[in-house]
Amino acid sequence: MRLGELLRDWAIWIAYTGKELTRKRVIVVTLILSLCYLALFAAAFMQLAPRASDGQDALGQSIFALGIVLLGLYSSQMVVAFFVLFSTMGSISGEIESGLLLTVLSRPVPRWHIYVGKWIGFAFWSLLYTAILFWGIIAVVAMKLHVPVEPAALWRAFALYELIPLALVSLSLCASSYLPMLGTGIMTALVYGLGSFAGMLERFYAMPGISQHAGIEKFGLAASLIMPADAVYRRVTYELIGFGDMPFGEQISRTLGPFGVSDVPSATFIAYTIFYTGALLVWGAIHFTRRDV
Amino acid sequence: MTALLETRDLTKRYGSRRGCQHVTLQVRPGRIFGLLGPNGAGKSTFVKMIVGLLRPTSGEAYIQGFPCGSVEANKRLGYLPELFRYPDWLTAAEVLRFQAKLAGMAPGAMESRACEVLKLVGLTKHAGVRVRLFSKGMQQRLGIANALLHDPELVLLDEPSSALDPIGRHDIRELLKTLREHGKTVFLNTHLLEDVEALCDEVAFLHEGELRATGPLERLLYGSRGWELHVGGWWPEAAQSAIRELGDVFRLQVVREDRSGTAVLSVEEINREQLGLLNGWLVGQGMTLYEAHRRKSGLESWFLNMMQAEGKEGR
Repeated sequence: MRLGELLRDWAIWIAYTGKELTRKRVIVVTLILSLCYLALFAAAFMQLAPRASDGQDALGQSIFALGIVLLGLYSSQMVVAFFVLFSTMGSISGEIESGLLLTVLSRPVPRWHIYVGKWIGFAFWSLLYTAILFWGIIAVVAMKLHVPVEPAALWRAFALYELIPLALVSLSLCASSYLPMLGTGIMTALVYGLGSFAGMLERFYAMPGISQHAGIEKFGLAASLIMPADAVYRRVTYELIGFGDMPFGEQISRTLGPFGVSDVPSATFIAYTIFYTGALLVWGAIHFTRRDV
Repeated sequence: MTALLETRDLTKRYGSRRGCQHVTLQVRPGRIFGLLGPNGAGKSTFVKMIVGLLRPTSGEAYIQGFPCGSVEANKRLGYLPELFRYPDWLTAAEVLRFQAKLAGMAPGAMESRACEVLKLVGLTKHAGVRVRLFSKGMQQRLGIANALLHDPELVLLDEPSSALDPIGRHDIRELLKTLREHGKTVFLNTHLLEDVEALCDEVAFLHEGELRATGPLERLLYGSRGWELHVGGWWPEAAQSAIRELGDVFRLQVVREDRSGTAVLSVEEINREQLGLLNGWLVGQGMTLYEAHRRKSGLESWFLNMMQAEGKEGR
């Protein structure tokens, strides 16, 4: 099949998913709630910003601005995760159960093509939504304070941040090709929760004054291999704080407590996350192609 | 004539449970082929293997020589599932447009063909209405429109009339006849025997996953080789006389006697020459043969006979 045809067909799925999300009012509701979320975030920030700025030097203000950005991004990635998991959990098994996919599968299109098309459709809208939240958070803080991040680092962080919904879409679609809709929702939420919990535990044990625990580290590593979203978020914080470029990176990180940087995932781990996303996509597509409907 | 659809030993097992076993049949082009069988006979399993929704455990199935489930086979296939749903957030026209894009139709052809099939199933006025607002019958019509969308050679309809009112069923029957006139092949999986009787050229009977009978509908319905004779000048003792004199040659039975001197006789397993002999005997006895025709069993009684025979075998 030619690349042009492939792109044309995947554009069909982006449009189809967009129409589904719009007509089911998912986009409207999500946008309204996200605007509320950003507004609340902005209101809280506006309350805190003047007090934090008073009597603070440039470093103190930078730490405060970064802290708020990281806090915002941390909660935003949870919002993104719920958006992805709820919108994709019935995309394969649910549509087979309801009979939605039967006529689609009888069309002269390879099954893997339909699966990848669905993945692209959900990935496209999830990336767009994640971008809105990411830049929304940055914009809210930048309105009042200087966010001390180099543009290149900001774009690197953004690119990494976008890996989170991609990994989740892959996981959810793959699970949906095996499990019924409810099972998919529960399974993916548990896996995501496990990754977040392990990440938080790791950060807590990495805080100054708390003794290290080898078991926690192993648990954290295992959990981040199963669900790398939180580890990727840690790498995002690393890129934003900019250890390489900023003279007081470590000090900023210490001040941010559990939202600072601890146990920074390596570039290899980021490569693993890209592999994880791709492998789950291929795995799901192969299983969907072979399964009985 | 080359078969449009051909299966050889097509088998599907679900673990230890059987779905379909060694089904070998051929569907010739331009025919309406009916698949019959009681619930749980394996009809849906068979249909799903043809469409490529289920992978056969063993055996082969081809549409115009292409393996069932392949892209090439599905280009030649239009399918109406038994239990299906269309995205209810789309309008009827949008559903067809989306399906046409998946079928790889050119944008220009897509629009005109969508209008054509919507007109064919009587949904032109509802093209812009969301499927959510469609009745079950309208959804069924949309399903048929969708099956016909890319002008396939083989149209596979799984219970097409099940949700339709009598007018809708009549319309579908007429539509299927039109399709046959246009050289299309229709594979019909239905419980409605009157649809099969009215439409099908050939049928196959599945029971417990196995193919028990297949062939032209006429042959199956006239398969008993029995005749029904309407006789005049009949007198009350004629029956005993006939059985005494002809009993060795014919299996003759009096179905009905009237006081007016007419009777209806049933004779099993005779050919035209024997029928001539019988006529000679009747004339010799002063009787007249008014009418003789091959006895046709209704599809329902044929179906029940098949089921009873299966039951006896089973016992």
